[in-house]
Amino acid sequence: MVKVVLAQKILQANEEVALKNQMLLKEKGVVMVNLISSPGAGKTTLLEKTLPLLKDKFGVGVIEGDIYTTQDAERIAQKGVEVVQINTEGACHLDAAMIREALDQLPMDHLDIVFVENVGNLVCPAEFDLGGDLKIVVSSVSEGMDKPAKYPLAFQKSCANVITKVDLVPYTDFDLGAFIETVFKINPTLKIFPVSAVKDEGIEEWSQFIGRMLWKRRRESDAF
Amino acid sequence: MHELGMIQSVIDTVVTQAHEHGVEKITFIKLLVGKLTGANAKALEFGFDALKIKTKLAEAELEIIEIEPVFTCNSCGRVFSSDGWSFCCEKCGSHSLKVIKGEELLLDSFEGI
Repeated sequence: MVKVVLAQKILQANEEVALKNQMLLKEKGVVMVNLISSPGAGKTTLLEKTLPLLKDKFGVGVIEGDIYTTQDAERIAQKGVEVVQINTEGACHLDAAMIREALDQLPMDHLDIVFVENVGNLVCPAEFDLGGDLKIVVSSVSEGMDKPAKYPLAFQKSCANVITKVDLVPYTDFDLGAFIETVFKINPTLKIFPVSAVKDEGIEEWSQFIGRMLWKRRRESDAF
Repeated sequence: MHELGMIQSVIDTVVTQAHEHGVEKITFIKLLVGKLTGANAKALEFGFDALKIKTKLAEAELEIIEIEPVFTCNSCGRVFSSDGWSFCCEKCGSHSLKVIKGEELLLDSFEGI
């Protein structure tokens, strides 16, 4: 009988590509912002409102993950930023290899920020490292209060939680204070950004946070 | 989680390694799965039984060791285990914790003849 000890990571293949992505981003001084949410939380609308505030100051690219369509990418392209579409053709999340292909299509030398709009799903995107990405979990008021408890990994792995559609709070039983309390129990370091795209509330604070994270990354990086 | 894809990657790795070590038939494989990964042991077992057919692992037994999360409190230094997703020190209530165990997702070892 032969016993072979491997102690090898099961997601090794993804992690190797993720590490390469991370090195490329570091070399180019680009921060990658990975938006994770349920379907319909408002990731595309959030981007539509955020991009105009960032694109004059920074070079911004967007990677649009979608199972089949290009609808979101078309909406984003109207904002005058570089967009790469990834159709996963059935897969429920983006992985490091798909991101690698997309990064190769973007003009990385001219970019500061790459947004990744992940496939709408709170389970799998949280589990796959894309390569030094800043994970942002997006929750909407209309989804209700139970998402953090049901999908803790997404909240635990993220550095910020954008709460969208806060203009709907008066019409629902959504309790913003109690929601934030639940979220903090899972991850007390999360930065919370309540926003309303239709009323243009909170978008500026959220955009400034992205800018701060870019400078923070660059300060930490040896390349700068 | 992507238990089926994970198991396929485990089987592929073991088949390649078995070939390198001159193993004809695999009898046993062991995985270490931290509870903070979200990977489900039942789904891994199901995937293994479905995918091992007609491979060198067809008769292999799968053992999954689930690893309970262990944290160190950054405020008071307490080391403790917790099975839930409430990241809070059991002694001082601080939320500033470091994960010591529970994030493993490892193909530990295999045996064969």
